[in-house]
Amino acid sequence: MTPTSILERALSRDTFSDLHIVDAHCHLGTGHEFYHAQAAIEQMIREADTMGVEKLCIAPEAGIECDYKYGNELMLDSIRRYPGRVYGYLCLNPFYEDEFERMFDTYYPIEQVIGVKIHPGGHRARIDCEGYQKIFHEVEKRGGFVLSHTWGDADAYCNLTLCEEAMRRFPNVRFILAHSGGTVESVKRAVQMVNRYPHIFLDTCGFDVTEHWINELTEQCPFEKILFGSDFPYHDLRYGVTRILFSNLTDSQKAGLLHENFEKLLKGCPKTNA
Amino acid sequence: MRFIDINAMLGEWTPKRLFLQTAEDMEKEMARLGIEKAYIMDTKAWLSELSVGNLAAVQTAKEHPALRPVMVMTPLLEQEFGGREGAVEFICRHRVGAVRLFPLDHNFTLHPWNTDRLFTLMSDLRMPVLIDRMEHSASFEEYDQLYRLCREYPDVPVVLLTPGYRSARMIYPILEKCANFYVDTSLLIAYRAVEEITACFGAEHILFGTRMPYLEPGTFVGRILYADISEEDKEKIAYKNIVRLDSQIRYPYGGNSQ
Repeated sequence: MTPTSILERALSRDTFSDLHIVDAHCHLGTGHEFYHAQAAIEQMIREADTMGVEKLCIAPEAGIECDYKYGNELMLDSIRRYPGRVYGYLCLNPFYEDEFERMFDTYYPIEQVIGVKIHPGGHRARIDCEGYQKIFHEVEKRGGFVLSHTWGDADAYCNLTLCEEAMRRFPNVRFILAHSGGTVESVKRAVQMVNRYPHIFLDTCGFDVTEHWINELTEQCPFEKILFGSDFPYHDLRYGVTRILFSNLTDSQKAGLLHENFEKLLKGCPKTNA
Repeated sequence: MRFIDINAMLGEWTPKRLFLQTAEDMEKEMARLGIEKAYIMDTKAWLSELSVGNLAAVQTAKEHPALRPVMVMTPLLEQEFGGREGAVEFICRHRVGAVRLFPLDHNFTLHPWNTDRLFTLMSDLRMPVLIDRMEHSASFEEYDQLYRLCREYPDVPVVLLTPGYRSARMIYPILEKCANFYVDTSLLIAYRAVEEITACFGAEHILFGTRMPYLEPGTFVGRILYADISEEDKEKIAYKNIVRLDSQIRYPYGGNSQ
């Protein structure tokens, strides 16, 4: 008997707990720029349950906006309340260099803290600034990886020209280009970067507003370098997950994107002090 | 569940090729995802020769029964559409299912001083008007104009396409105040936006639209199938709302709506 395909199951509204889905790009709470429904961690976990998402990797909104310390407290509270369900990103503001070491020492030893999230636009700092370089040095020393917001050429803080300049100096640090560059031209550039640099990866959220389909990225990039992220709760988790479930990829590609590629990344950059 | 997509297009594109090139490609993708019908325009009507694009859309629809033509219009009825009679004749002859406007790319304001004749016609026909602008290009003034149009022409179903995830603070108040204001599902992706609009203003205000093949249609099918709303509301969004609007169109020539 032919097994039911993921698409057939999705059309029947199945829940995909068997895929052990890991969402590598989530936030927590609400930001200032626009409204979306309230998203406390317990609500996010309820939504994850409905889609069969096993793990959420979070960087609270506050962490990438004006109060990164508050954001890190929220992250810590969430991973303690939901061990095994929530991973956290340490959020750092590049203008607070004197606090880096204390922040790394406080949060990085916690197993569920898997890396660093930076949002140059949120903190209004160019990704090639001194503060970020110091952060990347710390990650190089302590392990984990960096999830960085990216966008198009109009973004003065983290367009891909700046990203490439900053990231190529740290070949031992793994970087995820969040949103894969975000705009139609920048996605093309992001594809070039992941092909050129072994330490640079992509995620699947954000560039969905462009005319690039997920199929095209899997044809143009090393497959294992594409990670599933939804930007939940900026974006609805259902939307991010169904983008993969209803795509024209093979079932094994869907499973790879939703889980296996992330596990490979995590194994490839263990933290030294966990 | 049936799905009728009110936001699809065919034709060439730049700066990259779109993933679906032909009507046959589109029909295959629709069949894969269970989309029964799609309202299409041709990209030439948007970004090249308007009248040639409109003719291309109706020709394609004639050859592909799963596709329904959408006519791109501007406020210049006399100069671009042969006057009111010319427009009506085209709409009736080709059973146009909706009119689509590109105020930003076609350089006109939606303010009633400019669109009164067009919207008077749309009102007479009860024709759904699809307003197209990508999310980040809308100004606050455009929302003012949308609100004013909805109030002044309550018989015109005004559909904001691709409302995006940053628009709640603008579209929720219009949804609250205007029964004839609708949004489509393409990039209606803010957390629980579908659920909130349904709960606060009614599922009647949401139409299934994908912006295929610019955007990937499957995710919008999935978003509705997995929505945290009743089956009845899902059906309204997926097809019943547009079927209802379609049944209300008045074609002066050639009988009733399809």
